[in-house]
Amino acid sequence: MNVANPRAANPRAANPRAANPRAITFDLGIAGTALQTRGPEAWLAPLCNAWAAWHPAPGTTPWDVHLTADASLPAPQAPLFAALPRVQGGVCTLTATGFEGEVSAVKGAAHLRAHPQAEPADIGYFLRVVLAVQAFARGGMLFHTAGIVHGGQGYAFFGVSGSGKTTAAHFSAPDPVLNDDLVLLWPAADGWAMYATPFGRRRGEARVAPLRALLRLVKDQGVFLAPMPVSRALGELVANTPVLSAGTLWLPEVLARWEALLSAVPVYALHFRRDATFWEVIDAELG
Amino acid sequence: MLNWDDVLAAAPTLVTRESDGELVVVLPEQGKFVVLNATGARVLHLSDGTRTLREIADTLSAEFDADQTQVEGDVLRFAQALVERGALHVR
Repeated sequence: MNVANPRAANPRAANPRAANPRAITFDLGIAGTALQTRGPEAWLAPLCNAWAAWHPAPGTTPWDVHLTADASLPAPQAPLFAALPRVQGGVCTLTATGFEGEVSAVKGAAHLRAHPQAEPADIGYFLRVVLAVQAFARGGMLFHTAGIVHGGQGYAFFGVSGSGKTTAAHFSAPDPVLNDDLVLLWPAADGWAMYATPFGRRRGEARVAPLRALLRLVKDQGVFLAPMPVSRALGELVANTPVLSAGTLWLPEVLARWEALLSAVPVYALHFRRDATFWEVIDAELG
Repeated sequence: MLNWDDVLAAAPTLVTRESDGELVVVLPEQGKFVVLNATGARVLHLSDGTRTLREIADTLSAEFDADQTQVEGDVLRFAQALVERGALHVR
């Protein structure tokens, strides 16, 4: 056993080491996104099981995603999650020791070569990046936020790491949580919709809600909503838009899309403390 | 610490957008952003790789018809902050 690299001991990674690992196909879709992924069964079967309910909508054209196990690459030293996407020339690359991934928005396709010791979680992260690029190409955006459904309306609680997204989700029980970390925003006939994703923790079966407000979390002793300048909100929202803010190519459109969203959906700074009283303030102002 | 003879240039990778009377500056390589008021935005725009910090201060002083000492203080403060955040580079 390679004690310097604990990932080498992972029994789930055994199958891709075979000369011709069995390949399977896995379909994933949320709102108007659709990915058709083909790759080694040992990588995709766990994702098929975990994300079985996330089928593309009928008629949605998928992007082809190919996964290749390549033993000529060095063994991974860290989860792919630690790698930062780079965007250049319409292509998003995701590269780390043991991984060479590429997502082309122009071709509508993606490919990941990975050492056989890569884990299903690494593949799941790559698919998340592909979905982020495809969603953007089709008019939506992945967004780091806790998406909570309250009174049939969607509220997006955002902020820097540690600002209280998980806390807000906890104190919102039993309201459904679309996801406590990552949701998909998608244009709707009368504004924007917030969709659940399988990329984090959820509560309840709700999959989508109309986006009622964006709430920037601020830990405080008092509980109140404060206006938030659009310029400040824009900066923070872009910083919480995964993958797309990694290069200059898509950033102008990301900024423009957020500005368009902010013309339809209000944004506030929510000062809150560790209890559920923030919902009283939100209901009074926005309910 | 900046000198008045330093020539400043905006970082090639930054992306800006005017909104709400302010300038949102995103630094993709750092995953960070800054929001600039009119003076800060003007300092950024004038930092085109040809002007010294003093020339930028002189230009702003003339444009705003403001006290030279006051403007120099503002420009130095803004420029220093933008350099520290990676939005401006010293050539």
